[in-house]
Amino acid sequence: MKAAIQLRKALNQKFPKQFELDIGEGGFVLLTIISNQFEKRTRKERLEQVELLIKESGLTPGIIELYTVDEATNEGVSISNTEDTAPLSWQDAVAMLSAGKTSFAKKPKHSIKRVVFYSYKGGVGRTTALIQTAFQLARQGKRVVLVDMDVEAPGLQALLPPTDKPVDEGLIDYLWERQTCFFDEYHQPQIELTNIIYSVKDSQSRRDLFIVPAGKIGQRYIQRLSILSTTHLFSANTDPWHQFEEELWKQYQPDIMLIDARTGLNEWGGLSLLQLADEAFVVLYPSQQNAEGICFVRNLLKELTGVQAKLVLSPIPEGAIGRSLVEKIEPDLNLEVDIRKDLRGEKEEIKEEVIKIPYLPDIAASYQFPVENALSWYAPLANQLLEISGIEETVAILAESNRLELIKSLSFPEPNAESILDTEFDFNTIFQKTADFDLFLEDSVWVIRGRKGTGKSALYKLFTKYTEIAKKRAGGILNNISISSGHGINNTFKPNADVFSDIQKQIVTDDSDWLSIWRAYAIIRLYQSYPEFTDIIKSVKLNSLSSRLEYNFKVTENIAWESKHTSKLLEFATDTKLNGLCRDAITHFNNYLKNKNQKIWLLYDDLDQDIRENTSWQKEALGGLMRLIYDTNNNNLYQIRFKVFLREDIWSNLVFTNKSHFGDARTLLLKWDKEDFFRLAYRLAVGGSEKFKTFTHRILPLADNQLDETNEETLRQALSPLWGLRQKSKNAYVAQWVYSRLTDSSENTYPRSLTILLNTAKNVELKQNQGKNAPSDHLLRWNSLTQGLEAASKERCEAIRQEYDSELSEFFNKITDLESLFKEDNLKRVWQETMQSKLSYDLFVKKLKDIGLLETKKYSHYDYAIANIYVYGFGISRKQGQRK
Amino acid sequence: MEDFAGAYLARKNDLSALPKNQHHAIAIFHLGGIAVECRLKSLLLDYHRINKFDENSNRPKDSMYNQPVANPSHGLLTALRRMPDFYKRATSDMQVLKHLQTILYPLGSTDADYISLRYIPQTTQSQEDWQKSFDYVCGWLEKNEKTVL
Repeated sequence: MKAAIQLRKALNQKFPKQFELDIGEGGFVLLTIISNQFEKRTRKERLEQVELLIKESGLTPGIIELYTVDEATNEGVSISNTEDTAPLSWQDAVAMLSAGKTSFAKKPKHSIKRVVFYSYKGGVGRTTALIQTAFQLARQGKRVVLVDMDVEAPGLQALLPPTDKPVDEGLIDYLWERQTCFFDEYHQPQIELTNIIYSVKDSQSRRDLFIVPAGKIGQRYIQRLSILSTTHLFSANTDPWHQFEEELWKQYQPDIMLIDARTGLNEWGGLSLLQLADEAFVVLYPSQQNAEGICFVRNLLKELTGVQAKLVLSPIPEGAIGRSLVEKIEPDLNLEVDIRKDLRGEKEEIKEEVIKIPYLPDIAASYQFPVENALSWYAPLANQLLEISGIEETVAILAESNRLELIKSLSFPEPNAESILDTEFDFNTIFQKTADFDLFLEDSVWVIRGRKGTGKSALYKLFTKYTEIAKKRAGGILNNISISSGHGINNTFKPNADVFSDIQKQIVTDDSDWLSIWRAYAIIRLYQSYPEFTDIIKSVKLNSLSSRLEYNFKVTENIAWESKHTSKLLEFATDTKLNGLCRDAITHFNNYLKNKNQKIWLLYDDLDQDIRENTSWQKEALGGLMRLIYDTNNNNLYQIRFKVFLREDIWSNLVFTNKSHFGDARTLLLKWDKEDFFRLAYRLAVGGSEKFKTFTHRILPLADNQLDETNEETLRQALSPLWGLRQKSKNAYVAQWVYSRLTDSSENTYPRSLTILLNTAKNVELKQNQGKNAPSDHLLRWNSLTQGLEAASKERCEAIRQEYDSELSEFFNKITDLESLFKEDNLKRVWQETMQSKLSYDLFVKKLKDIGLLETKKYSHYDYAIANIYVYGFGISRKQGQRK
Repeated sequence: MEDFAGAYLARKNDLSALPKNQHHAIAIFHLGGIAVECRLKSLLLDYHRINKFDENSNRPKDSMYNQPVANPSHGLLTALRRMPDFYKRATSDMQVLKHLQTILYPLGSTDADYISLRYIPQTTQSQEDWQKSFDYVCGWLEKNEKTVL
């Protein structure tokens, strides 16, 4: 077939529209050319030109007629222009294809999408799949028409019977009448569309599905079927099928038509696939018997009409048998494989998806559709169709809009934790409700751990500075809770790293402990944040405490922490009496709160900065805070709660008494998983630009409160107007790509990196030509995204460099000695050169893994890899490597 | 109305009158080609159920239905193309195509076709080989006539 296409192309260049080409068995070329280029040439000369082309394409020169225009007229030779026909049968299709012809169908003016469900053999669940998919689509808001073209064995009406009167006439009757009967002013068609179509209501969505059966089986049906000539059903615009579609469109405006095709390689099967299909699902049982036939059909369809039929394996037997059947048949299915190289130079193989439907007893046993229990298995089919229609809609809408304006209007926050959260607006629209948000609200959660960039500080700020908004988002849970800062970046009045250092020294001298320090510090905070506190401690006559607080810690504007504050704090902790009063103060305040049914949360952030790392006392200091929390709880002081935001690796290295009591239920690990990530991306895009919001809502209306419950597929679709749905290769999603590229080796994603990527991508996109080469269904093209990724990578590398500068700077300086993929020896060598004096090799490797830089490769030639997100920014060269 | 069927038989007869040797090869090739031409033309009229050329085809299930069928003149391939069902069969059988080629260009593909070769005095092209091709084409047309027509 390729040879024929090549030859046809070559002939088209030299003799455009002046030839008729067929190719017989064995590559035998039958060619007639009528052109004045042959004027004054002998047959030999004419042949020379042409035979060369034929030989170049690897075919055999057969009967070749070469005429000038005059000669042809004299000889009665002519060529017919058969370029536009669509194949009517498998034979036609094969003949066309072997002659290098293609048939890209012309679309009629209406836009009912036609999806054909085909199977090579019967009984595999084709009709079932069609019906279940139809219900899924209807529930997603589509108007669906089901058409039974399994004319030689109709069955659709049995599975979805009409509710009022039984089927009398169907598609065959309609087509027969339009084709055979005579119409004039006295004789009008008796069989209208309304006679052959009926509706079935989906009880769940209250939407209708429309069904066109083939007809009522009986003598009349057989007769009409045999009379019906398939040759003249589709060709002209006035042909019966087109009349049917016109009427269907006028009366029902369906979005999509699902056609149940005939099985096998027969006339009607061929017709529906070759003439009608815009999309096709090919259903087959996973056995050798089917593979060959299916591959032939899929290939033919693709080459001839450009339709890539999707494979559905069904029904797959349960358990190991089923799995092994699928495994065995996969190599025979001729699946499309896209091979790409990622940032590291690793080859990625992305295979075409095959939808798998197991044998479902619920289906076998049921006689009523839809079979709810089995519905979700068919979701992939519906999703594929929705995706495609989503893209088409996007293209249409984008074509109407001003692309440049839309891109300009995109506005992403500047990539910095501070500025992301500066305004109320930003919070409401951008802050991500991670799946863990709810957990955070639990009283029992005391420690929130996470890597840098996972939103700890954002959460801290949300709750301390924008408490009202936080309360709104928490939906009532926080109503009796006051939230204030125990320590964090908001406070201008707080001890800094040096102060803590001094405190540490003093603790040693005074033989005090960190728990008391933290308690005293908490008291100061409570004093400053809650006026009632003063009243309480006064009322219980804790005078020495209250007087000191009033004298030293009164709240005024712009007061900075001074050394007198440090000494006072130390005094509270060290002096036995005052220490005791502190304890009492807490207890009394707790009671007060209990009576009023109120709680207080004290939030602690920034401790990673202010309690210096790599000091011997860091662990003690933090441990002390933990013990305070634990003690408070243990003493039944439930009205005062603490929440500490801490970097993950610091937490895991922390050792203190009762750490075992800080188990899973008490700590929360902040991780952005894929769906959160997608939600953030969506919020960033939609929140920053009203124009974009309107644009994308036209395609997929997604309300803000729905967003939190949306699943991955819908999110991907919602994001597709921004950056596209699938990559150039058709098997991988852009959203997935973005997500995996911004993720480190421990599968942590960095929201900050996302904003950088988006900002850069936008700026790059603006510099591009928005004309013909711009993508038609999304705004940020691939090239802009990859450049955005580079910028994000750079920032991430900077961040990680800074964060671990004291520990790993020597290593970072020499990191380019490594490639993106490498073996143990290489890593050892670099360690020897840089870190040997500081860390043991094992600890070194562990550290690199902990911080998310290093990945172990299991099934590869290489032992390790640098996480994708760091490769570019560090200037690490890509290895030409292979996966598995 | 031209009687192509009759002409076919008559030309075949003429052929048999000629001595089957190299001296008369040109005449044999020429007459033989014309015989096949007539045969195809008569089939063409029967195929479309018309009496003469330029009438519209009366063959309902055919893609040429209701379209005028022009006289293919000396175009043997064209004649065959205008009978889609025959043509389909022909393209599936390499042998008949090869033999048809021989009938069309008896002296080889770079030389004159069966009409123009009458101006050439002699040829060394094998008359025996040509005869085999002629027999094949005529036999093939007869056999397939039944199922196609």
